[in-house]
Amino acid sequence: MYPRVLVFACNWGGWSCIETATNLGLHYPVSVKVVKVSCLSRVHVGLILKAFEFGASGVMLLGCEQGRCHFSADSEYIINEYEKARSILETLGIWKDRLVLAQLPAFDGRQFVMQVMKLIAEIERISTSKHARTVEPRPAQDIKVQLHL
Amino acid sequence: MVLSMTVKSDGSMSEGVAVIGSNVAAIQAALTLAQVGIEVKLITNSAALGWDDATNNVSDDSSLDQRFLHPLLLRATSHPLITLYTGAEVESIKGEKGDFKIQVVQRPRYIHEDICTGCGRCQVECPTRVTSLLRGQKITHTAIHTPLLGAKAVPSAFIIDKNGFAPCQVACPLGINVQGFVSLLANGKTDKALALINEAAPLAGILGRVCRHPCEDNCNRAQVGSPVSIRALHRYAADNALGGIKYSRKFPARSQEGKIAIVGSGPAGLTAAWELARLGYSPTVFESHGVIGGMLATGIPRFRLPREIREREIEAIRNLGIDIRTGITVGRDVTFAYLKERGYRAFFLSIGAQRNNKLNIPGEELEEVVDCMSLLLTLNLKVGNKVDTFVGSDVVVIGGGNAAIDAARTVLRSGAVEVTIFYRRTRAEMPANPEEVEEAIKEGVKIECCTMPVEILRDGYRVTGIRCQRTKLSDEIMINGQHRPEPIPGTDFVMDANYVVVAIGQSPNVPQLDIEGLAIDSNTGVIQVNPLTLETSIPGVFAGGDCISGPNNVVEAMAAGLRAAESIDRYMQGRDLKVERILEPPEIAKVDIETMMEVSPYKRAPMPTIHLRKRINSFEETTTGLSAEAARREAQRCLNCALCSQCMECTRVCELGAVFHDDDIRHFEVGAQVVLRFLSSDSEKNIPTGKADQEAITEGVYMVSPGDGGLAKQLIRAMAVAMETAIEIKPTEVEEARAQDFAGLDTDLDHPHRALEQIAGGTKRIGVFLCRCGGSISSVIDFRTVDRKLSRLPEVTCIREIGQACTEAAAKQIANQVAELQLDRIVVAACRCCNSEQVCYSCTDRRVMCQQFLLRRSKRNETLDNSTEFAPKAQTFVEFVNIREQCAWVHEDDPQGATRKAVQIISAGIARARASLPMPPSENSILPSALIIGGGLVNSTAARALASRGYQVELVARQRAEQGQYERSETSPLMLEQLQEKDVIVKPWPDALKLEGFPGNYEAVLEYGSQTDRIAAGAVLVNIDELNKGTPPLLNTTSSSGLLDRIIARKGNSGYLARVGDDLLREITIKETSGIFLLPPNGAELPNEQILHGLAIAARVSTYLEQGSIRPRAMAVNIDSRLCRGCGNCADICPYIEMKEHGDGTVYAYVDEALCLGCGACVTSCPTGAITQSLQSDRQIISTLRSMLRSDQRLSEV
Repeated sequence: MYPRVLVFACNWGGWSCIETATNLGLHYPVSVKVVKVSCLSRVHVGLILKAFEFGASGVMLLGCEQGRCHFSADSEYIINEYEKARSILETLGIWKDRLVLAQLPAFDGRQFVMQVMKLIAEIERISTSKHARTVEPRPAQDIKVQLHL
Repeated sequence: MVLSMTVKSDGSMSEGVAVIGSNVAAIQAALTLAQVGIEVKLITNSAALGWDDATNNVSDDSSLDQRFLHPLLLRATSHPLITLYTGAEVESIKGEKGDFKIQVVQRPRYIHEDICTGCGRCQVECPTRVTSLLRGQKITHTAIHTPLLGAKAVPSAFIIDKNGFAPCQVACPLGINVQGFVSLLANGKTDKALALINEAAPLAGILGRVCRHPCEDNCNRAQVGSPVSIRALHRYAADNALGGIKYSRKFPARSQEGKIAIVGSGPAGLTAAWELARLGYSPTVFESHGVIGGMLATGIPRFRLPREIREREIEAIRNLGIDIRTGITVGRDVTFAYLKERGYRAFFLSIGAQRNNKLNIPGEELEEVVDCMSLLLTLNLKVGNKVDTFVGSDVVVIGGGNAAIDAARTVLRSGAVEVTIFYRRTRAEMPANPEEVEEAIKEGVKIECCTMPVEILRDGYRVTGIRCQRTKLSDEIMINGQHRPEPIPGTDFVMDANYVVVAIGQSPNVPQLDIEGLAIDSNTGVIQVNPLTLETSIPGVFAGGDCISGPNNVVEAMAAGLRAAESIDRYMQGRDLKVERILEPPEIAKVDIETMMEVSPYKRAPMPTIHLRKRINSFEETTTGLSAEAARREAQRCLNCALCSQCMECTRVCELGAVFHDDDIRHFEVGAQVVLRFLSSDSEKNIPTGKADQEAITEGVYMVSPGDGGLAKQLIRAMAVAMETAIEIKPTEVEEARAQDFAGLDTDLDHPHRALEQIAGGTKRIGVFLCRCGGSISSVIDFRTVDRKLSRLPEVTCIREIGQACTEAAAKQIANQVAELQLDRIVVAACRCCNSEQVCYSCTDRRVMCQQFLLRRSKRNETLDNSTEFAPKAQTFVEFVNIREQCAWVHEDDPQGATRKAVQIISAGIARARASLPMPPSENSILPSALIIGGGLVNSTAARALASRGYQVELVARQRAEQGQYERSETSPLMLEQLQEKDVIVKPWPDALKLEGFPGNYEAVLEYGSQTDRIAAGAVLVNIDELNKGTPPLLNTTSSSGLLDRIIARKGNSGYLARVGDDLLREITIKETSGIFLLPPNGAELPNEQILHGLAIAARVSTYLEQGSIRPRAMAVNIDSRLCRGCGNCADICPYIEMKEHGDGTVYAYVDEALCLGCGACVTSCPTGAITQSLQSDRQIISTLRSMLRSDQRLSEV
């Protein structure tokens, strides 16, 4: 059983990496789930934390390199959210490196698989390490969160 | 915009433009032409368009190119006005401008392009490996393969490489697919190999031992070593197929008028019976001996063909239901006339040749002069009883055929001490199998060639010896093609012998049949037949085998049996015997051994034999057959001369029936008004730049050279060429009917959620459709489990399986279900991932087709098929989920895990379908007019081009009244004149300019002193440098309030080509909606370049205006001004967002939804949650997260 990894992939560069991975005949574990978003800049801290709340052991943000965004968005947006999320995770006692940001060139299937496997290895290391702060995110039971719609 | 067609007076009319080429320029030109309403025939030589062919000569920025590639290809190939012809070459172009007739020859693909989904299951089964050149390297791949050998391609349908018929198959009298079964053996598929052999002929175990192997004699592998040991492989398949012999019928048993009699159960008769049984008849075989098999039983010795093998083969034939009656001699026990009386209508005479020819020399009548036929019969059939006759004797065998060799080796095994063969011609001319001759010599048989017998010497009634003479070959050639041997006088010699075996040939005992009127050859005694039909002089009586040819090999006899069976089949049905039958074999494939890299280094495998010591006194089989390892290696020595061997494994595995081996070269004609030929290499001489880089070879046929420069430049040139062509010809009249042809769902492509507003609350009815993808998804993901788990979810009304979602048939099926079950939302789980109109970088042609068939915008608002009893149809919301690349394919190694994940992915889709919010409809029409700000060559070219297309164009430019050098940005009087010719309104340069309005309906406010002029336009073309010139600059890009400022700011400040590259990419993938186009700066570009830019811009503007109306994108955001607190974060991020004022002075954010690109960055930045996306709300994303991550499937809460 591999740890559950949730990948937020942007529709353009990110998705192309995932498709290419399949086209090259590469495999990754079924515990890796991919959620497609129009652009990584759409992913805010709340969504990242929600993923952990639902039981993801790791979250990857997969998008385009700076300057390559399909919408010409600045990487700054997602980097901000990413860093905010990491600091909140640390406050909550969750190992920061469970959240990674992968800005890859389009169609780089191999690199995507490598990054995902690296993340899985890191998660496994954390889970078994006595030294790392190993608070596993627990699936919340029926926490009703008021969301602005 | 639809303009009518001018028809030529003589009535003949060719429509549209033919674009010939495979590079990116050709495709862009085709797309541009189609987008402005012109029919295009895109003719490409490649089997498919993709990385290699489409991107010749492009920039080193390879990542950018790839991002463009598939969206461009897919837009082009899926456009309704473009017809794509792949694998097509132009033979000739006839006619004249306005009416060209192009002769095209198209290579066969052997696969239906519109059906194949590219799943690759056929590739897994294909046993044949061939070699091709790919980008300078030799690649080995299967005969059925992806068209660009791994690179993604459009169309993605596979292709089969064929090279005619292999020489082995052509040489085989039975037409066995030799290369096919050898390839299957090379892959270890023994049972399939035997099945393939048995499709053509029976008795594999026998042929694998005694066939004279004409296949091996014609094997091309002999050119690189030794021929493949095909007969040994044939035997291997027969002996090692685990499932045994399984003969399949061609037709079910039929009732027939009259019966069929086969006389003789030798190979000819048995094969005829087998084929007739497969065709549905029930023939009766009459055999005069007590054993079945003819020469197989009585002639060929057991150490070459063991009894068990013979009996196994014959049993398999009998199991087809063939009646074999032994011990009945036709002509003696039953007469021909009697059989006819009893209802036998057709006859096959396969009595063989059993009458031994006589030496006609003195002494022949002695008892110890034995005829080889009775010798072999006695010694072969006497199982267990040792025949002592020959023990200790010296035997002389006269003859050089297989019978002689067999007799010699048999006699040796029966105890003879000295066995000598005398043959009257040379060793090379001995008709016996060379392998048998070699074995005979190994065993100790002596062979004396060029020797003929003269007299048999006797002592009373006993044979003591034989007197022979040497011969030499004369020049005279006999009937059988061989030289007549001439005795050399004075070379007599005597050899001692106890027995003489006569084996100089046999002839058939035709008179015994006692058939009146049967024509016989007077010299040889064989039955005369028509070579094509094998009919004798008596209608309905056919003959074959040794009785028509004299002694020959098993394979020829069997071939005659097949031919006769075909004749008898036709005869019984009263059909013509001759029509569509040929004697000539098909043409042999040409093979260039040099190009074949994959030549296995192994030498021909020797056939293992039992030791010599074990052979004497034993009739045990001499050869023991290849081992599994040896067989595999031997099979891999095959060169696959025919490439695809037509073993039909691909056809068997393809659930969709996409493979058809009967495809052939097609010749057809294509009509066009103008021909554009895009050259892909610079091997053509440098074409002098004519108008926009085209050179007319013939008036109307233009060659476009590849030119230099990066991808953006290529695309610009292509668009310019297309635009110029479009101006020359009138567009095609688009029939309204075409858009209505699809029986898909009544759903709006761009806004699937429009439907939802019509659904007035209440329970949702969700339908889920699972695509099998021809087995490639369903073989990994267990649909039964998926069905069980998903049906537990609330509001899921139905779950259905479809074979292939990307077809019209599937679309109809889904539409029918929607109507029947009144579904309002559906989830299609196949290969498609998005439910909006965009084309992503990694999209495929099947995904586009799925959407096109399913969601074709229907102009009618009628009810769908078979649904008149239901209420008028509301539109249906469609959600797509990808369970192919994302699940079945990438997790092939873990089917259980893949099934679990599929359940999660699909339930996420269901959750999104339930949670989608309605969006109010809005559609703006686009004014068919353009405003161009700035003068110069680029702008006036664009202006004239657009005006020629019928749009109203206004140009605002600086004009210089005096003569002298003109600034590039200024409009000279000549230009003015040209502009006025085209009805372009030219306005002078204003003091100030402001742009108001919204996409589709802009209004430019120009101030001239105190006067104000307003120009309305659908599209605005702006030259930024122009606006920044002068003091104060016309447009102040640093202050951010103006619309134009904001849009231009968005476009960025990098170099023009880079900017236009980004713009083009967005135009192709998510379509242009703003209607504002940037013109290149008036830099130091040549006039020709400027014209290209002008035309290219005109093409893009034309495409935009042609849409007629724009709608916001599916992902466009919605800002609720009541929730907005005016912080301005979103406006900082996105220049399209502006801050407006309420009446009371508070500000709020506003965006024109037509401008919004849909990225969602503003949603993240909004602190109050005032900004939402209907198709990608937080609620939906969270439902998706929940479905993906939580193991319980409660979807009732968020």
